Amino acid sequence: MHVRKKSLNSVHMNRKAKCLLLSLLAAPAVFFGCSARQTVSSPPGPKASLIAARTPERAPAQFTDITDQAGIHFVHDNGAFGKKWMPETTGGGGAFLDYDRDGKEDILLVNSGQFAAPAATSTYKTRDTRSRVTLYHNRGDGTFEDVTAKAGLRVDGYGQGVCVGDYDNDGWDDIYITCLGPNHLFRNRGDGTFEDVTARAGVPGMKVNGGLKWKWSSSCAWIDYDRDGYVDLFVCNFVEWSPELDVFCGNKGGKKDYCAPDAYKPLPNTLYHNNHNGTFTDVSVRTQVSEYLGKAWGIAAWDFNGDGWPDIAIANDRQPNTFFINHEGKYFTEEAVQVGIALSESGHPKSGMGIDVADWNNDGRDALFIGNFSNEKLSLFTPDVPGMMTDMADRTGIGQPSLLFLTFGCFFFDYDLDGWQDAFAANGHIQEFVEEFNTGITYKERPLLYHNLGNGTFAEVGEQSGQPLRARYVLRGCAFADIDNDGDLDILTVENNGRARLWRNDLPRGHHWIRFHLMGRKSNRDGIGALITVKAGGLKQRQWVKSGCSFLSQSSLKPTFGLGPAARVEEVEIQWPSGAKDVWPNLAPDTVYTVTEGQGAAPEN
Amino acid sequence: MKHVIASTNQSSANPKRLRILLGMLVCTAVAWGITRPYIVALKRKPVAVSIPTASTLLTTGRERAEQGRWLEAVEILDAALRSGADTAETHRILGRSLGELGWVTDTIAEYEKAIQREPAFFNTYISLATAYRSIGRRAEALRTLQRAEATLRSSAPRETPARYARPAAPMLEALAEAYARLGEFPRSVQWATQAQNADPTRPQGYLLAAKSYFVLKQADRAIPLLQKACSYAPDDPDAHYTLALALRARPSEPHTLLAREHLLAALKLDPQHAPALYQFGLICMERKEWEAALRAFRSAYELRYEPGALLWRAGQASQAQGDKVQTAFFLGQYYEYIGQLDTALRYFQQLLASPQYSRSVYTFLARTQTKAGRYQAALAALAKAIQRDPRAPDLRRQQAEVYSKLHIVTKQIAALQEAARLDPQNAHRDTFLLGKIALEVGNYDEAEQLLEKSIALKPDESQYHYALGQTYLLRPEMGDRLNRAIRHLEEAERLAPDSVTLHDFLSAAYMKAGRWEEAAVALHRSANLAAQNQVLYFRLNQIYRRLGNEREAQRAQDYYQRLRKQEVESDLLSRRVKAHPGDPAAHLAMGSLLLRMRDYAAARREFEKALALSPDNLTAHEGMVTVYGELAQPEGQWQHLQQWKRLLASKRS
Repeated sequence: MHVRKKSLNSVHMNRKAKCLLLSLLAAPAVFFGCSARQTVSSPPGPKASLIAARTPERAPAQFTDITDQAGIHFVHDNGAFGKKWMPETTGGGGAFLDYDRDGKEDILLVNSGQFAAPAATSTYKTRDTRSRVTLYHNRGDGTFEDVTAKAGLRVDGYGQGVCVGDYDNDGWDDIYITCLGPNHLFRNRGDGTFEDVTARAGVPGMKVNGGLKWKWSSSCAWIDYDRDGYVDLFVCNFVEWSPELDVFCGNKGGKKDYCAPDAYKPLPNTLYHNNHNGTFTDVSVRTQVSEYLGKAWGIAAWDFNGDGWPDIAIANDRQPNTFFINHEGKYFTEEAVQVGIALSESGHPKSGMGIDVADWNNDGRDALFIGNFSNEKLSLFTPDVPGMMTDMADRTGIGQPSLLFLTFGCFFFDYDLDGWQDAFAANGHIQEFVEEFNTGITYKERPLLYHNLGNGTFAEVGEQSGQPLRARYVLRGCAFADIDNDGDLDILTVENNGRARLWRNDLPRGHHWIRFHLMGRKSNRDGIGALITVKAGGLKQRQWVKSGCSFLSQSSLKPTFGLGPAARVEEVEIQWPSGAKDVWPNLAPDTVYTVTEGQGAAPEN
Repeated sequence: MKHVIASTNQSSANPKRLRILLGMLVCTAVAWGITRPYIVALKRKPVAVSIPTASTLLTTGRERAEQGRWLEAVEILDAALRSGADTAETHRILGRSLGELGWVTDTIAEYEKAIQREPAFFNTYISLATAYRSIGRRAEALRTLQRAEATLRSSAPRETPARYARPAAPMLEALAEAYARLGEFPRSVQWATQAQNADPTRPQGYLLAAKSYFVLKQADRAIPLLQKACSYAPDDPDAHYTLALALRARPSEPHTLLAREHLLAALKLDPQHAPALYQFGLICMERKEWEAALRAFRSAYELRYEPGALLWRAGQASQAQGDKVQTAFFLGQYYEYIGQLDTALRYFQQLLASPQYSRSVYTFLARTQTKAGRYQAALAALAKAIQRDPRAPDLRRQQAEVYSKLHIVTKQIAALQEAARLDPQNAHRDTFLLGKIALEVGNYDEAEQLLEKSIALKPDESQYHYALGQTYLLRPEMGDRLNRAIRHLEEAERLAPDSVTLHDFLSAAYMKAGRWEEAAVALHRSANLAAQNQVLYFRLNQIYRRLGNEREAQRAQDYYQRLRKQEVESDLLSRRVKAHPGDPAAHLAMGSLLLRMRDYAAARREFEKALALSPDNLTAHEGMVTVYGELAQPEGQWQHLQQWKRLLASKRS
């Protein structure tokens, strides 16, 4: 049922023609472009005609902590030894990936580690001899096996984050690990083992201070920014920090405490272009990415302006957020101010941490979800007028419950499979004794789970969604995937100086779903950057296949769509990064489809 | 339909006419776009809106500038320019408005355009020189003044070849003042003398020359000029004060007596003339008239003039009188003011024995202990004060402040509640503070109730409305809170129209409510008070984009990015200074940036550090010349200018 659609150029022609027609009909529309579906005064919620009938009330989803029974024994070590070095507060990250292509989501976790003796810390070696990454293989019976050594994964630096993508299009997902110090690229050999190809590929991250020190990389994402069919690598960098540059920041009691990022210089981000031969070229300067300094934590990439090229949003810590608009894969311009995501509604930069993007109100336009510091509230930048976004956190009920929380990881996912993207925020403060100085704010915090009510608002339901979401942690990275292939989405969290935890979603049966595993041919193998649109039950949902997002973490590369009670999927459309489009009517629900670009969709075993 | 076809045919037959027509349409659209926010915001009732012409726009722009509504003036004058009012006057007013907003380089460009269009208009040169000077571009400022001189020579009326006519006097004075501001005092004297010759009845020429002589340490030459100024302007307190200063520079009894007379004349004309009060106090001290001196110092202190110097002098006067208790009272406060807290405490403890200060001494002690971070000692002092006067609400309030420092919220609340009980007349303030505490701890409902109560007790307090508006805005989605927030913020703004924060907050509330035009108006008010504010332009950009005014959106964005760039540069330089405190180049770079930002006090600190490390640094001396000039400290300016010239000469040789 593969339908080859028109070329991208012809799509553009159509858009132009529509523009012309609209401009003749209503002159003011010319000012706003032609992708508008909503006028300035429209409410943020979906249009009445697009709202599906609400799902009847059902028992809320419950999450269960299965960490121990699953055999996950990873403990994050931040290496804190009293000096209150800033990196101690930030790790670690985690990812879901199917590294052995057995159809079951495996887990990769990134540790930080004990700092070496201060005199030798310039290279950020840790005195810990254990690898800073741990790979857990999903046995498929609810348990996981630590296969790190077997897989040959070894990182000696001070780990931070991870992103997963098949950079050599061999069908096996590769892994990039960011560190305070040199980063690492591991190529998946396809036999259950990995090789460290960082040097050969030329992607260690940039040196700073005349090459004396390595920069502090945070999140990363695989993005095919020039749509040449190979994923490129975007690495976020935070600040210029080293033990030698560490400064004294006192708390209200006058003792040294962790600094805010203001104390350190920002670093430019790095963009590596994939040369198609296993090597990469640093194109940060050529593409103008390095011109904009932020203090980057989170990254989300999608085609914001509908021109077919992936744009990049970056959450910066106490700096204006960055928004790179992609100019046909040649260069980027920074347009966060124009788009309206640079600063908060009041015009001040927030402490941006994790980030994600989704069409939460099913209106065909994507919104950004950003985690921020305590007393800043979460941000939900939602398109209101064409080319612009407004923080609608307050109006949608996202803002108020998050006021006292410090959010790091965050993502959209449809945990109750009702067809509306819900949201999750992983929280935890950075100051151990914050309670002494701030009333109402605590060091350990419970995560927040927002249920999308389908009417333009969310309800925070964490405390009603199972014991793991009621307890308090110091969470950083978080990701989601369906670990038990029962359709609903489970959560992985990583606690700073604490455990990684796996929370199984025990959603009552009744809601249907559909999932896609994309395999690009002309496009990159993982289909990263593809837009999947699903029509079912009166809703038109869309999701991007995306690497990165959240905080130092990556969720499954297989998008899951909740269908609610709808037992029929009317139509699925996939817009591939290559420009090709595949459309299928009547796919079966509750099925994982492997979709090969231009060939067909087949249910996975 | 016929008409449309006909005009189309006509247009195609005459492309020139079509171009003109299109041009007019564009101008109209531009003019309409620029004025739309104001028109929409102002029209509560439907009114007939006419499309403004270029001259109307110029008139409106001029009016806005005269009212100090600078950003509006810039937007309207820019539209006027695009509509065809490309005149020297438009550029001059635009330049001035841009300068008031802090965009000095844009100001310079506009003044140059004004000069191109009207080269004989003298005042533009002075304005241009001022703009250059204000950002430390001294050489360009001097060149511009030379251009002004040339214009004056060629166009100003003369009585004789060597003497300008009376109407030229204001221009000559302007030139003299401009040179003085640049530290070129001898030249200033020359032009001030020309001004005196042109119109001997104007006091300004004498004052300008005298002030320059004063800086050049030629008081003898200044005194007769100032006496003339006083005779021509007997009602000008500044003329009397300046003459008194010149006379004080001649230490002799007759001069001192004359100075005293002129100070008294200045104070008669303006009893609030704090510098005159201070000088009068000093003369009284010299003449051992202690009580009169103390009265003068107390009056000047109440006017908040140089509190440190006044407390010190008052202490000295009391000591000379032999009043130990009063000496301790003033010197304790002096040392508290300059931060030598232990010395302050020693003086305050001397007051313990005095029944006159039996209660207040404990509040002094508590205040100083609090400043020193010794909160328990402060609480102990307050406890003793309360023991003596248990019904004093101010002691409870001070106690609450100390508990606030200690983060003991429960006791802070109890102290405030007790203060409110003891002093129901002023309970509004305590209730307000209790509301703020509730807000801080996240008890929003309670905070709203308390703040509403504080407003009920005192409805005309802007900050109470502001706090309540802020609190409502924390939960704008609940009930009618957004509208209530707007109402309270509007009331707060009405009560305190000069609060930048309020305008900003109100605009944010309007934006939240999608009331874009009103948000723009609030931001313009904010810009008129504090224009160099990134946030303001970021939000204006957002608003204008939503209103479809791309041109103004672009301007706002440009301003935002300039300020952001400046902030980043300042941030990096401050780190450099911190990391390399012994590097004069770091301090110089920071000083130069601060000078460009017109933060003269901070620039002076950096240049001073650079000079301490490298005393012969030309750039630092030049920077100091500008800084002292802008801070109205001509002696320092002259001193650095001399050093700069000496160094420059030796470098050249």
